[in-house]
Amino acid sequence: MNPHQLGFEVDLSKCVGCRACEMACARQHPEAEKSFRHVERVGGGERPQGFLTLGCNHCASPECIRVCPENCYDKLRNGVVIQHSERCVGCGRCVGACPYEAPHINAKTGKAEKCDFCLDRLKEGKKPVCVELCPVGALKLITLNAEQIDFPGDPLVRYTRPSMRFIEAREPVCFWRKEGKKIHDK
Amino acid sequence: MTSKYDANQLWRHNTIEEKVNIVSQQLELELAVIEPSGDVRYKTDALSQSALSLLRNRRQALLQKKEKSFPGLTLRGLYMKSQSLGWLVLEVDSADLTLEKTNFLDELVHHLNFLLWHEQEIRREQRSHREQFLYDLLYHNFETSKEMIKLGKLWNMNLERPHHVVVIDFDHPLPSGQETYFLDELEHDWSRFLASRFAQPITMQLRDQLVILLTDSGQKSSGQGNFVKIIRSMMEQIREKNPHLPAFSIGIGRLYPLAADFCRSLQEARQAVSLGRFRQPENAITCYEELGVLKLLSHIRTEELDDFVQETLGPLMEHDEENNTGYLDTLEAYFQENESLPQASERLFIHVNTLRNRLKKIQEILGVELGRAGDRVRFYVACQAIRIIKRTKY
Repeated sequence: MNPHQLGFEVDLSKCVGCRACEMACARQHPEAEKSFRHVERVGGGERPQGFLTLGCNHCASPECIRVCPENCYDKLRNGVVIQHSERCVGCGRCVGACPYEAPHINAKTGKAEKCDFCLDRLKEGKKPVCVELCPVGALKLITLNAEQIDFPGDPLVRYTRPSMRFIEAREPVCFWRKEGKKIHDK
Repeated sequence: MTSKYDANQLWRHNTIEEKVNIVSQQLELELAVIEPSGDVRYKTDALSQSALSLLRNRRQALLQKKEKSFPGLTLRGLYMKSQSLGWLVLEVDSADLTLEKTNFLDELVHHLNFLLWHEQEIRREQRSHREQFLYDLLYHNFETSKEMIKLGKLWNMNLERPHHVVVIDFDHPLPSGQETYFLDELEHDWSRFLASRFAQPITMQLRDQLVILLTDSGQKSSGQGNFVKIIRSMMEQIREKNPHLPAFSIGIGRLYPLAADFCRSLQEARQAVSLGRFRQPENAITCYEELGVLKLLSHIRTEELDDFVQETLGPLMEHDEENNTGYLDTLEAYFQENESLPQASERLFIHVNTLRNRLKKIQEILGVELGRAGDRVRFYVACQAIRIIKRTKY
C-alpha cells in the first residue's frame, strides 16, 4: 500500500518572511494560544540568507503517536496527523519528542495542540489557510510519494520522515559596475 | 378476508432480531435464523435444546438442504438471486402450518432475505478494504479497541490477543523500478515461513517497508527473547532460500495488550529498525526495548554528539591518526562484546593478552580507568555516539 500523503512545499527563494502564514494560522485557530506556524531566519551571519516557515510536518512515522500515553494522535488516510485534545492530559511528552517542535501546551487549557492541516477547509475542498494566504506563493500544498518522503540528516529526521519539501534559495547574484565607468556614460 | 397477522408490524422494526420476535409472538412459534455456515445467527428464547442439537448434529444435512433429516422442524431457505443466505427454522411440522401462517412467514422471509443480503453486501464492501483497515489499525484511526476487534473479525484477525509488530526494511535503496518486485518477493517469502509457525499472520506493504503483525504465543517470559529467536531463524531460512534478495533489517516493537497500541508498537519497530543500523548496518534484528542509550542519543543533534565525542575520545582519535594504531576500533569492539575479553579478541582476530595490552594503552592515553563505572559509561556512550555520527550524512 502506498498511502496518500499530503505535505507542504516551501520555496525558500520566494519566501520574504512577511509572516502572513503565521497570522493567517492564528486567525484561523483563535482558540489556540499561538500560531501553529512560525517563520525563522536561516543562514545566519550578517545578512540572513532567507526565511523558513515551519509547522507540523505530518510525518510518515510521527514521534507524537509513539510517545502519547493517551493515544491522542491519529494519522488519517490522507496522511494528516491530528490531535484529539479531549483525550489529552497535558503530560507534554509529544512536545518534547517532536523534533520540529510542532505541538505545544496551551497555558489556558493545559492541553497540547498542533496544526491540523486546516482539516475543515480540506473537507470543503480548500487549501490550508497558510497556503491560501501566502502572498508570494512560497508555501504550497503537495502530495508526496514514497521516494520523496526519504530524508537524509539526523537520525530522528531520518526515521520520522517529515512530509515536507524544500526548494532551495538561489545564490544571490551580484552586479558590479565596471571600473572607471560612470553610470551616465553613454 | 383480512389476515389476523399484522404484516405491517414487520415494517416498523429494523433488525432481524426484532422482526423474528414479532413473528414468533404472533404465530406463537419458536424460530431461529441459521447462517449459510450452519451457525445459529439468532433464536427465540424458548427454542428447545433438542431442536438446537438436531441442527448442530446434522449440519452436513443442513448444508446439503436435506429437509427430511429434521423431523418436527420446518426449514425455509433464505435466498437472494440464487445465493444462499441461510435458513429460517420453525419449531413446528410443516403440515401443521395454515395458509395464513405460511403467508405471514413468506413476508418474514422476504424481510430476512433483504436484511441478510444487505449485511452481506456491507461485509463484502468492508472486506475489500483490508489494506485501508490495516492502515487505520496501525495509525490509530478508531475510537476504541473494541471497534478494531469487531472489524478485524471480517478478515479473521483475532485482535483481542496481543500482537508483535515487526517492520522489515531493505538496508539500501533498491534499483529503480524494482522496488515493488523485491517488496513482493519479501512479503511472499515471509508469508510462507510465518504461516508454518504462527496462526493467521498479518502482512502488509506500507510504503517501502513490510509490516507484519503476529499473535503472541501467550507464554509468560520476561522479554521478547524467544520471539526474536524464531524471527532470526526464519530470517536465516529466507536468506538461504532466496540469496538474491537485497539485505534487509528487522525492527520489533514492544508487545502491548490492547489493539489501540498497535500504532505505538509500529512506530517503535520503525525506530528500532532505523537505529539498529547504527549497531549493525545490514541484516540486523533490533528490538525497541533493547535499544537502550541509542534511543536517547537519537534525540540529540549530531553536532552536539560530535562535540561530546571529541571531548571524550579526542586524544585517542588523534593518537590513532598519528600512529595508525586503531585503538578506537579496539575500544568499540570491547564495548560491543559486553566487555568480554575473549569475545572481543576473537572479533578483532588478536590474542587476549594483546587486547589487554591495548586496553591498558587506551587508559594511559585517555588518562582514565575503565574499571570505574562513571568512566566506563562515558566511553560506552561516546562509542555509541560515534556510530551515529559515522552513519549520518550532514
